[in-house]
Amino acid sequence: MQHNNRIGVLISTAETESALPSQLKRALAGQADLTILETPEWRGESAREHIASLCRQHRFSQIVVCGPSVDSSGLPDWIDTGNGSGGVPVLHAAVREQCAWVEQNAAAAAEKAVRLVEMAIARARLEQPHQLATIEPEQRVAVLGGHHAAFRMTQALVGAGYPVLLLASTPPAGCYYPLSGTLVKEVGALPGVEVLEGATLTHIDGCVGAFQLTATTPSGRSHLTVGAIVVAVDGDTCALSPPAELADVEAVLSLRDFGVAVSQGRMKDETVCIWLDHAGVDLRCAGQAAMQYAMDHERRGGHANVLFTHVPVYGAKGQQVYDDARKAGVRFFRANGTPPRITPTDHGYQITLTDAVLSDRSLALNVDRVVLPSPMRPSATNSELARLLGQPLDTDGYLQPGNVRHRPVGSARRGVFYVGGCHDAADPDEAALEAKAVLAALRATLPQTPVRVPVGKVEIDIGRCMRCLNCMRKCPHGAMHREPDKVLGRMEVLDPACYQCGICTALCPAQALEHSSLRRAQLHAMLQAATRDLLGRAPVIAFACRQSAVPAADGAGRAGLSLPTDVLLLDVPCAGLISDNLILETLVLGARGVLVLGCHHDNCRSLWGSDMARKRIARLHRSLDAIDVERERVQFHTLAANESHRLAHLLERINSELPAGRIGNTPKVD
Amino acid sequence: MTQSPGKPAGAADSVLVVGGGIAGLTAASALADLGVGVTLVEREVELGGHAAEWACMATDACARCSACLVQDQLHRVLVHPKIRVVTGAQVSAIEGGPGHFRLDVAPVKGNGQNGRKGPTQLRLRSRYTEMAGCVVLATGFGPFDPTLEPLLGYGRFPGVMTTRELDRALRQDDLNALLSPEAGPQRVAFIQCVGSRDRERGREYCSQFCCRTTIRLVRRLRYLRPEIEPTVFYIDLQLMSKEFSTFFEEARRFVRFVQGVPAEISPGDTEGSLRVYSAPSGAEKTEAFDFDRVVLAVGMAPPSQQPALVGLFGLEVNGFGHVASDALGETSRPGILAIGACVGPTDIQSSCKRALAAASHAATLLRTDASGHDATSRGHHPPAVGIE
Repeated sequence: MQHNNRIGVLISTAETESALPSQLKRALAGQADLTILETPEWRGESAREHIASLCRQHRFSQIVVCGPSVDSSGLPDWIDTGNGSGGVPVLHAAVREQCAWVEQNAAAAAEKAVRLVEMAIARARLEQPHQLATIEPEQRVAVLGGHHAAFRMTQALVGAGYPVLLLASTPPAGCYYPLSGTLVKEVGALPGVEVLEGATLTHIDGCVGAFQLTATTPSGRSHLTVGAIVVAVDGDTCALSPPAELADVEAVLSLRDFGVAVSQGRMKDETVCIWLDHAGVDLRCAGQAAMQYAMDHERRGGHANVLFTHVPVYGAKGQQVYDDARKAGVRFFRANGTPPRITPTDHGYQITLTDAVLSDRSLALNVDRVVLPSPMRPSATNSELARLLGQPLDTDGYLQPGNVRHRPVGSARRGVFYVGGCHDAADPDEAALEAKAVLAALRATLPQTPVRVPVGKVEIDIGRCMRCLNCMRKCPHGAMHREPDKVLGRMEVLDPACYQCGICTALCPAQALEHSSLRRAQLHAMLQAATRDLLGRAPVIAFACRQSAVPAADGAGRAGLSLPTDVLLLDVPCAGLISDNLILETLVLGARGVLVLGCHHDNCRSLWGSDMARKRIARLHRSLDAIDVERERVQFHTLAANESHRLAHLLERINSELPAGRIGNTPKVD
Repeated sequence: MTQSPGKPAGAADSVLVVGGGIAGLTAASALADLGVGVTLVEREVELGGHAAEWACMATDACARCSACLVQDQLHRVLVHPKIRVVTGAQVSAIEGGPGHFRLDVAPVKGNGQNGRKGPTQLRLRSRYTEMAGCVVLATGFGPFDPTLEPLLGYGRFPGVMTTRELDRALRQDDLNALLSPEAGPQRVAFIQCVGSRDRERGREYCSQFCCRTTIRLVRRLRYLRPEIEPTVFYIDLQLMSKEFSTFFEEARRFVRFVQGVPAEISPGDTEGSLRVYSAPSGAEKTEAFDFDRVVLAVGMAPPSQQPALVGLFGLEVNGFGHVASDALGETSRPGILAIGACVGPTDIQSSCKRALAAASHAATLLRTDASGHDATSRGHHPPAVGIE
């Protein structure tokens, strides 16, 4: 490849206030495969067109952009020149954010900038044009569930023109919001909806645009193809378990039954007490349903009291419902101190309580009935669904871990969405909102017209592959697939699902996997360029995650913070890509130290990539002891994308604390 | 940024998003993903809004504060070819209706309020006209001004600070500026609902994010300074959200929670200490608590420019001054949607969710409009079937 390269090095004229452009030109002069151009416009469609036309005009095979940060360059990772030869890779030398101190020390900044550009060029020389393929995703969307969330989702999808396959399960009994029984039929009659009643999913294969589902129905097994999957199974409600003090009370109603009775006008003159939080803090939806039904009851001539520990005024409607309920005459009591006592009377029950606000006064409520919300819990089917989807549960047993990267409605597996009570406590209105939110994400996930997308993101050397399936087990995005029905089925990468995090490449014991735009050879070439002395001493190499440390460096650049001169950031898609070998290689090539900067635990876009890096480095430390290399030469730190100041301070501190020379060069002091 | 004076920018099938905070950014990138052309107009010179100023609350693990998401959205917006960003600008006039809004966009005088440096190439230099089929307002909030509660001593006692100030110190990795590490164990009080749930001030609403923000702050403080002794004064803890119960249980091990918010703060007996008077639930009378620092959880209020904004756009507001809107963002004026904190207090996650929902709704409105249906009617909502 190397001799055919024509690399366009684009230098922003926004840099003209500094000495960078001239310095860069001088440093890069005489390299035959480089064409250095100054270009003014970095943003928007016009910048893409401009650069695409430069590519056509100069027949560039790669572009290296040096100037503003990735954020403000507005350029994607590849540009389709439209001449059918594939996508021209665009590599960013993040000069601006790493050299923000350009005003303070122009000479040092220029030297560092030249080094960063040389690293990007070293990488570009081994970067092959991105292979593009045309995909035409299946438009039909599978919706799982048989209650509010599933029906809202189906309605929303039909409204947006998607065909729907509704895998209707039995609705949970005792939900605070009952549904009319004919709804499956109503929804089933919508245009483009196919309903499979009583279906149980047994297998999910494939990826976004072409998921293959296997489901068993009363009539047998079905194989179905869908473009996306929306899990909309609502939570289960447990049987009502009245507390000990209510054991003898006969007139206990569940919240759902109360709501139904109120709407049917069966409780007109009765006085009730809705007892929230009797078994720990109730879910928001229970609190809001309670306030709603209490208000309805008052408006129909009844009397309602609500006992609570925390008024659930949180949420879009919380305060509104609370205020309306109070205006309608519902009385609220805080029972935070001593537990309320309940005793039977001639006409009903008396509840004695100490209100938290009216501190020294004891109150007695005479009521006809006591209403309790039945506790709600994540659906029992969640764990099975999580297994089928290859996605983790959260700590409470809901689908979708709390990891904010894929919330509010997405998952780490492209084309898999969560709506309603399957992933959080949600009422029907919240589910309707989430259904709309899914639509917003779905169009980009399932384009209606054929689109050209990069493929071959991870290359598999089939000859080396030992079918250990490590990659398949550990891919957080469900992108690894094995040829089915064969003992030695070949592994393949499902490109539409792949985020190119590179976790699999570091895991593969046979080194059979190669990240197609961060090949081992590319990393080696970049490190060779990087580890030469910089400003008179060995630099520190920081492998920086593109989701956290790189944006933090961007932010540092924008805020005018200085990052240390001799720490070079090398951006990687995920910290999980950094293998032990790569770290050792970096030290051997001559780095003073190696930092791996990942995301905080539970904040990794690839779920466990950052944790893998942490464990790997802890293990590596023990090996370093054995060969007498100081542990502090290899460090792992976590950061968030908005921790620019902490990044600057961290790099400053590490840089000053690290041993001065390369490994083996430090004289040992006994 | 230059615009040719004669020809308006935008088109009948594009959307103008006003406000580049987390809600506006999320809506803009979602609309662009839906194939809609978007112009994003931001008053300040830098995008990101309030959420871009919040600190990461991670301890050994992410605390789900979501403030880092601003950076993700910022990147998505800046690289999306269908989004044009105009900063240092505001809408100065609007006419027309759904499918044919005509808006004047004018530069904002001065450097904006947040004082941050932005990419200068995005900054608007001169007034221009923008066409849009639909307008999405995401103009955010203004923090409650704690000097309006003079008894809480903000501005009078140096030890009294707001959650925002604490957040800023954490963001700048400079906690020492607020809590000197030499001073030994420090007693820190967190007072909830400052400027929220206050009937007398006409602010009888929950600001939604403060309880969880405070829990995250105490966890983060304790992580950085294990010697800190925190106390939280609250009315009702609003902790219901995904996976939050474990954070709360953890915080309960080292935080003293006191129900009932203090009415008054005065100087304590020792130099620099603060005395907090509160009538906690269950107590017979008011008690005095001594602290070294007091942190006020200031709520969200409509921003100072809200009245002018709703006047300009001709929108109805609710009793608290928030833009009146439904779940999908529709306001009293057809074709204008409102999302984020300008419609009422919210946190980052809910703001993102509503922004996504409103984006898909706006795309539907544009489509309905283009296919000749009456885009002004509200009949395109799915029928609310199902509840008995």
